[in-house]
Amino acid sequence: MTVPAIEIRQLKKRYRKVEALRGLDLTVEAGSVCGFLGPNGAGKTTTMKILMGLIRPTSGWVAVDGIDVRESGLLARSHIGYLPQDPVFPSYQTVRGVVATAARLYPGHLRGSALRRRVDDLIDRVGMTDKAKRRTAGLSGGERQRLGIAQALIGEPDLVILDEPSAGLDPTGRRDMLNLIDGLRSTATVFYSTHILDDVERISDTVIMISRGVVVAQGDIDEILTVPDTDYAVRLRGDAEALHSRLEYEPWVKSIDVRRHGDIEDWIVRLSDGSAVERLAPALVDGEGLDIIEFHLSDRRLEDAYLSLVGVDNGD
Amino acid sequence: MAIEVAAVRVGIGGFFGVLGADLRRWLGRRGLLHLILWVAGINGFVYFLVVAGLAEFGALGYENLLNALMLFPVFAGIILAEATIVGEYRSGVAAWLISKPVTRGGYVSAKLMGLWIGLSVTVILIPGLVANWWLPKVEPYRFVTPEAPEFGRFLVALAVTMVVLGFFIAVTGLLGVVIRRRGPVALLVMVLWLVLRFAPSQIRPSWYRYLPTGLMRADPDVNGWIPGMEYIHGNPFGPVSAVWATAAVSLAFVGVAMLLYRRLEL
Repeated sequence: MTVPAIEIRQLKKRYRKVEALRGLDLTVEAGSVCGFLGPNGAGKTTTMKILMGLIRPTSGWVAVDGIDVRESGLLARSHIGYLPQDPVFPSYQTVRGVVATAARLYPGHLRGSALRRRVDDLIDRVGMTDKAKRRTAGLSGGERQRLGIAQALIGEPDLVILDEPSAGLDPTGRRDMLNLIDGLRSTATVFYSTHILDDVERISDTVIMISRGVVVAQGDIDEILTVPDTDYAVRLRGDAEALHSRLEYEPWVKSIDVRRHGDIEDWIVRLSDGSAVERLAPALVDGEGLDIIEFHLSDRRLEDAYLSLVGVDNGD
Repeated sequence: MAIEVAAVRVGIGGFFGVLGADLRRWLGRRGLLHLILWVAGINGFVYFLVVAGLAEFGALGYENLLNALMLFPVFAGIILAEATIVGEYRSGVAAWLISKPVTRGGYVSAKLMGLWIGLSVTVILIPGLVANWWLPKVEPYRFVTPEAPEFGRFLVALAVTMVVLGFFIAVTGLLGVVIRRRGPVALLVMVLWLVLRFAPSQIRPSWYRYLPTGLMRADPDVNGWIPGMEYIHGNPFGPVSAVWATAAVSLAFVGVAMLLYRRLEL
């Protein structure tokens, strides 16, 4: 049986009066790309900092590659590459200097020309070759982010923890970052937090959603995005009020969620069971003065799942 | 047991990684610029006092040099140590380094040691050696002592100033870990320097031999030159105990700073 890349059990963290983590349980399988989602203040960064040994948990158990982070944090960190949320590097060092310094902190690191080649290769991978000799003090937020990725990967880690890797990047940079993360799939486990749900849908194998310090959902992204066969999307034009009123009282309709855009309405009709579609379709066709533009099983986007699981009032 | 041995190896590697990165700061073009500025600054200061200034002070060229080396490197050490320990804690650079396979104790000790070595070479040893080259050639110096001092004794005097520098770096490091605010830390250590250097009436003379004061000031019972100067001029080095005590206290301060740093949230 493969040891999980990350295993967290009943993790709690209290900052004076604020309970940031309230018994967090999560598992990230080795070799996966796992998106870590949650609103601001949900505890994502706190969880990552505990994994990196930067803050101490109040209680709970945390392991990386089977190594207890609280007992053997140093060994655990030798397996991890980490990009902090707002990466800061010594201002007197150049881009190349930062990556080389990071390399020399790992056990059994390369030396001499092999180290220089590896450093230059990583700087090239993050698209900073032309800035390799520039001091970090003059870098933009996006450039610091790219440098952060390079220094996180220099130790050839088994686990890469990225705290909002796309933050501050322009669209090109974001695309490059996603490609880079996608490319890590074969060599490392990637555990990253983000607010950009499209990114998660695009590259993640698994998703963990956290809210108010506890996990509200975790699993394969396909499972989370799987919709029940009872949800139908309907797009129609015209006065739909009468039809809406009629359907609302049908025993086989559980709910109708309506969004209006001018004279067009988008409905998500939730039925009591899948077979009720045989009643819904004729009812729609019978609607007088209505054009049915679309009618199909609802697509569930990650955003829908996120909003339904985490809620919209959960920000800090 | 195997895990513990592996952890010790990783920790040592991390310590030398941080130390190496800090020592590299003093090399290259930037390091050369620092070196030139410090050599010119300290030697210019001593030249002003010895040659261009008042002749009677000029006669004590080596004492002026040693006093300058007890002043400028120490103040540079205080500023740089608080910028390192407090500044890196606040900016997030410390968190970046400690997110690597580096122990917190290894980080603190490597940072303070790197600073001490860098300043000792750049601000004490090389400017001192340059001064030792030209001071014996200056007329007012020859007026008192026509011969250059023995080189080995001069190096010992420089080493004593390095011990004093180490003490103030260690104090700053410890206070930086405890207070974690740049201004108050620097201010407190500078006040400590002033007390130890200029207000020893508050300190029992018998304690001199166990404090940096014994290395920074002349023994009040003898009322001669500062100890390093006495030694340069062929006299025995009196406050040997002050050297060991200062070094031991400095190491103890670094040790406490390492322990306290483990409790910080980064």
